[in-house]
Amino acid sequence: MKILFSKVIAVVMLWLCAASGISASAQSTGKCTVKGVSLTLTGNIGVDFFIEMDSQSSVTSFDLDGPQGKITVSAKDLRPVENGGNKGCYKLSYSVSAQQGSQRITLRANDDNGICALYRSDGEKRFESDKASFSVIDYIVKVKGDSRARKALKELADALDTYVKSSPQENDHAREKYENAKENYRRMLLDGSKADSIDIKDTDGQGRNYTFEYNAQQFKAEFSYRIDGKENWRIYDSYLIRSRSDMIMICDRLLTLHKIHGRDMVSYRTAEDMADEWEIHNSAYDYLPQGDMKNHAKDVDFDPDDQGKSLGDFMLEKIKGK
Amino acid sequence: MKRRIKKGLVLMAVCALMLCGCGKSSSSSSRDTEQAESTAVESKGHNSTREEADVQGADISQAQTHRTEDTQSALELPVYPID
Repeated sequence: MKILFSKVIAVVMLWLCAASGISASAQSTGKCTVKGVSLTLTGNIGVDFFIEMDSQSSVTSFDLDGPQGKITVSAKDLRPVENGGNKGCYKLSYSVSAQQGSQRITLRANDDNGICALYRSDGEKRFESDKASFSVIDYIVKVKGDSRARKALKELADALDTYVKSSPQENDHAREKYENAKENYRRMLLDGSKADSIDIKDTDGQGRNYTFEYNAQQFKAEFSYRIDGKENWRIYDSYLIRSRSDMIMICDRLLTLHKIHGRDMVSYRTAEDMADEWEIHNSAYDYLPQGDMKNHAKDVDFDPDDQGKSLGDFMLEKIKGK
Repeated sequence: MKRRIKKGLVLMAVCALMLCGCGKSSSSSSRDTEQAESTAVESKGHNSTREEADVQGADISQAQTHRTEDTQSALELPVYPID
């Protein structure tokens, strides 16, 4: 009886060991996480999944399923993203037309044993049935709900939303608006713009000393009248601001506080011609060696006399000691 | 003596004008670098999700590669986490 009992115990122990062994090996297959989702806009719209796999991952392939049918991508064919915040992740993209924008694309990861565990971006929660799904409309909802999204991106999301939901009669008009919003967003990226608006504060209430925040830095602007009575705006450390569209936006705000006459002392300077001068200052700052002239170039001054001057004009003035 | 000074001034003016041309082209490249740097700083500075902050950097680098491509090339939008 004792022998039989010990045999039963041994079998149970072996079974437990085997069972724990299976779960241990399942865990050692590594983790597969969907780190993020995005869209790539070409002629069609690419619904993108950014996947992170650790070194022990046993994933052999991914299935993407959507309105165009199922696509299987071998893990061996994937190349990691080389730059940006998702460096090292693998990008899986499924192309849809605008009219298919409300249809979800599903993603599954497979290994030799079947479907792999697939985790949400936090790396903790698993997707239900280990299947991630996402659509163009889902992306639009994310942008609209993001308080920090740039104005141009929100406008693009709005235009895309309209385009996706447009009827055949509205399609051409909606497409045109979407293409314009796309170009506007592209321009914003190329320009390196950092802000949609700025808030200028009058620090002493005298209408002379101002501050504003830009790109997480505080800048000082000063308004004064020169000895000859002409107006002058100065922005300290202006060389740190490089986006022309942002320069125009800032100058626009300054001009609402105090205008500056043009060189003819009849007309007024515009934000655009002030941005021209600002860009010249930045060029001079970039080029000049350390010294007094470089120190002077780091802060831009706007007064009536400087309207329309080139870098050569400014250099000549400096050489002549004006 | 005055002539020499005048000649010197003209020479300096020509140099300044040449620099004007060079300055413009060199500034654009240094501008790119500064933008990339400031983007990196921005990513660290904000309290937003890592993915979103990172995306801005990805966007800029993407945009810079597009600079030499035609306007119809792919435009990558910011990446959002999925939860």
